[in-house]
Amino acid sequence: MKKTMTLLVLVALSTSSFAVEEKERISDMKHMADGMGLIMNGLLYNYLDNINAGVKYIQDGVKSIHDKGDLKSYLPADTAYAYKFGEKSLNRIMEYSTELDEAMKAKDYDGALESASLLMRQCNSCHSRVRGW
Amino acid sequence: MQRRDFLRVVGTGAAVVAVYPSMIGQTLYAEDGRLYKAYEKVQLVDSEGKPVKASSLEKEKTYIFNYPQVAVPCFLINLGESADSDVKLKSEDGVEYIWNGAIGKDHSIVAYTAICPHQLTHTNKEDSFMSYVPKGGTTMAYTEGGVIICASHLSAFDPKRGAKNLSGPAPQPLASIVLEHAKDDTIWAVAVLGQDKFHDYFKSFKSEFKEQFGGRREAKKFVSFSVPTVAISEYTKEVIAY
Repeated sequence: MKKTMTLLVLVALSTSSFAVEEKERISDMKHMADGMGLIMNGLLYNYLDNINAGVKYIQDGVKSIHDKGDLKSYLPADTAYAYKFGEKSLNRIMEYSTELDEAMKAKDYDGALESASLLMRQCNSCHSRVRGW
Repeated sequence: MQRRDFLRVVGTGAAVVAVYPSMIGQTLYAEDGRLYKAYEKVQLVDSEGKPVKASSLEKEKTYIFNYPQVAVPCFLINLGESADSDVKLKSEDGVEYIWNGAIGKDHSIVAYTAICPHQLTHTNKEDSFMSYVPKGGTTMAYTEGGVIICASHLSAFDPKRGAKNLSGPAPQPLASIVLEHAKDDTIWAVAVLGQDKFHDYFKSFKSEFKEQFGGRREAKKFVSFSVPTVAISEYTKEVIAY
C-alpha cells in the first residue's frame, strides 16, 4: 500500500511538473490581449507604430506558447484533449497577424481591417472553446 | 403595376432564361420556401477520372469532392439507410426551405458542404475538424453517432434530415449539395440548397488558399464537367474529431 501511494505521488508530481501553470498562461494571454488592444488603437487612430507593436506582441505571445513545449501540457487540464484545435488556432493567429502586417505595408487599409477582425474572431474562437464562455 | 406591364416583365424574363439558361444560376426564393442556387452540372468521378457509381459507395464512409468552386469541400455519404424527405429547414436569417431528401436506390446518399456555418471550420488538405461520426460511434458534440460534427466548437448536424443543426453553436444547417442520380447509376452535382457561407469563407482563409490552391482567385474558380471524389482519408492528412 505504501509503495502504491508513493508511486501515485511520484506520478502526480512528475506529471504536474510538465504542466504549465495558470499564471504563465495568463501572462501569455495578457501579452496577446495587449497586442490586440494596440492594434485596435492603431487602426482607430491611424497610428502605424501601435499596429506594428501589436502584431509583434501577438506573434511573441504565440512564440512564447510554443517555447513552453507541447500544447497539451499548456492548456488547462479539462481542455487539454483539444490541443490540436489550439494548435490550429495559433497557426491562424500567426497567419492573420502576418496578413495584417503585410496589408499595412502595402497601404491596403481595408485589407488590414479585414485581417484585424479575423484575428479577433480567432482569439474569440479559441477562448470560447478552451475557456468555455 | 398594370397587368399588361406585369406580363411584359414576366415574358421578357422567361425569354431571357430560355435563350440563356445559365441566367437561372442565381439565388431563387421559390414560393414553396426553397433557397436554391444552381451551378454547372458536374459529374462525380474517382481519382482516375472514372464515373463514381452510386451503388459502389461504401456505407457510412465519408467521401470528399469540391463543388461548386475548387476550394469548397463537400461531404458525400451513403448513410446506409433512407434519409427523410421534404424536411423543413431554416437558415440563420430565418428563410425557410425544403430539403427534398437523398438519392440512390435506397434514398441514402447525401452531400453537404464541409464548412461549418458557425465559424467556417472546414475540411482542407492539411486537416479536417469536420467529419461524419458513423452510427454507433461516439462524439462530444452529440448524444449519439450518425451525425456530422464540427470539432472546433462541437456542433452536430443531422445528415438524415438535410444536415439540420442539432446541437452546439451552429446557427443553421450545413448547406446541402443537390445531387442527381442518372439511370446509369452515375452521380451529378447540380446546385447548392440552403444558405451557404462561401463569401465569408473566401474572405477568411487567404493564406490557406495560397498554399493549397495557388491563391484566392484560383480557389474561387468554378468546377466544370467533372470533379474528383475521394475518401476523406485521401483528401486530408488528418481527421480530428472529439
